[in-house]
Amino acid sequence: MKNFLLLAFTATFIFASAAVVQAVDFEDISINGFISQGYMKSDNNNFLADTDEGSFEIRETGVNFATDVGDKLHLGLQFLARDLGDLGNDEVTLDWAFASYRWKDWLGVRAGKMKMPNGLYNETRDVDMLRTSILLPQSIYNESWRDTFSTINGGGLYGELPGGVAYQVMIGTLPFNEDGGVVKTMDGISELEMGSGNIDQTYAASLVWETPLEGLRLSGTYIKTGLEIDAEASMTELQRAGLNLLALTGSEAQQEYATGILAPRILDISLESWTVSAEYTIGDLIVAGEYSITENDIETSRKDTGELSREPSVYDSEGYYLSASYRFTDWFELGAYYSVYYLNNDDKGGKIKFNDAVPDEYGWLKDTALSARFDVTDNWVVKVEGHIMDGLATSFPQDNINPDGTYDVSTDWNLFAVKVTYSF
Amino acid sequence: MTKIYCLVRTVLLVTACALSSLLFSSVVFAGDVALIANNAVTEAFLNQKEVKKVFLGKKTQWENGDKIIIATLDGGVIHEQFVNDFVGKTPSQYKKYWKKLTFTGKGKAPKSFKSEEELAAYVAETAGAIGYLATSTASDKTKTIDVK
Repeated sequence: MKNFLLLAFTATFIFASAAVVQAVDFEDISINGFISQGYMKSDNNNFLADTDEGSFEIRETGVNFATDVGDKLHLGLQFLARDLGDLGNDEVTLDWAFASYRWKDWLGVRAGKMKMPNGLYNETRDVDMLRTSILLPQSIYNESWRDTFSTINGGGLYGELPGGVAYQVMIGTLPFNEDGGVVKTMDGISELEMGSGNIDQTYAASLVWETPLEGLRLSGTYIKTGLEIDAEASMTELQRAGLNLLALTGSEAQQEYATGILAPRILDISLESWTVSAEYTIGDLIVAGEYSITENDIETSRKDTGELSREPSVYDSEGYYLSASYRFTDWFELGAYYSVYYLNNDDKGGKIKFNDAVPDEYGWLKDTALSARFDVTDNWVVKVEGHIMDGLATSFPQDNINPDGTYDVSTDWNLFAVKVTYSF
Repeated sequence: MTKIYCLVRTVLLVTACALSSLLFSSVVFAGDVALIANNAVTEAFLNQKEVKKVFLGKKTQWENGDKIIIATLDGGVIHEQFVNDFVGKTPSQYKKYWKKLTFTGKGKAPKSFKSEEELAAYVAETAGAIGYLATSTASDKTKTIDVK
């Protein structure tokens, strides 16, 4: 009922606005925005929201303001409210806000909260009407970590080099959210309960080459970051996770297990990611493919002494996809992709994990998607999408737990989604 | 059986309508589109790559350092011809490209006009402005930029 009322309110707002709102220029300030409401239903498994029952908790609302000051300075900011299952909950946040000074075409400086490049579409992932599909391929664009990996607070350089190469380099920090997807993921896959945290200095670099072959662009992205999260451990959870206490490192750790009183932990996560991408546009046909590999180094230690409380986990996550979309008419577009993700590419069956109780299916995700997009008017877009899924990686284990604590998951399952977007 | 026959007939009818609309749509040939600029712009010509960079917001300054201000048409055959031939995009791809810049804070969408006359008037009175229109519409209130 709550969902219905929310949807009814959203629809009323959109219809009321549609009559009067277009992209607006007040003197030299341009105002643009969007509101996007979706619905997802799965036949088994909850994916990012309560999809087994059917969920309207997939929604984004954004409005931005931008202006040019003189010939070279550009200022802008965007507010965004997002809801995806437990994440976001429509809280209005400052999505991006930065100043950009373009000294020459080959050198500009940006400072503030900026969209962070990763692959072809990370910077635009909040804006549904810019793509054919509702869900981007999860192998590269993990929806559950979007709140942390969309923006960077800091500064950077950018420009267009001869030969059709565009570059961006950035340094700063990523936003950490105790109620966000990173914390929820670590809560779900580990034996620990996460608390507050912070994110280390982050580096991002991107090159995009518009090749001499008309329509073909190639891209490479590098990101290096690290997170520290305070965590609590309990004997019950350690035993449930199947950890062999005697095999754990450190005499202090073994002593505390013997007494059953566990010191607070710190989870130290280092991530280093490379993504290579290709996109080829031939008239109304767009074919794209991306491959990404992320080195994960996760250490769990006692907060008081710094001693490791379990063996570090060092592994590579791997993701790739191939997609194609074709625009048949001004108002109709079809798209499809096949996307594969492995949490640990040395363990594609999902056997090695932090918590043995978590089902193997959280180790991989293979997603075959078909999307239809209808541009009803210049401002309205409707999308319908189906997914044939194998595995559950990138979603949250705790969303599929029975009241008795056992997991209730299906390896093969399907997801249906529909989304309506109004933009101006 | 009757239902299947009706369905097939409907699909064939819709397909035929779509194809005929493509066949009989207006056709504009290369050379029918002229690139115009404000009379104060010193450049006499641009090469094809430069035109593309200008209309994608990647080349933002004239040779003398003045800001380039882009003017586009909302739609129509001249717009379609221009973005296809000079920018390498369909009109919907071009619109999406600028929305991407707008919604990531990287740029402001160019001013767009419903008619060639409005566009020409804007280019004529705006320093650094560049736009396009049908060759037959060009006048001496703006200068024509040759594309090499």
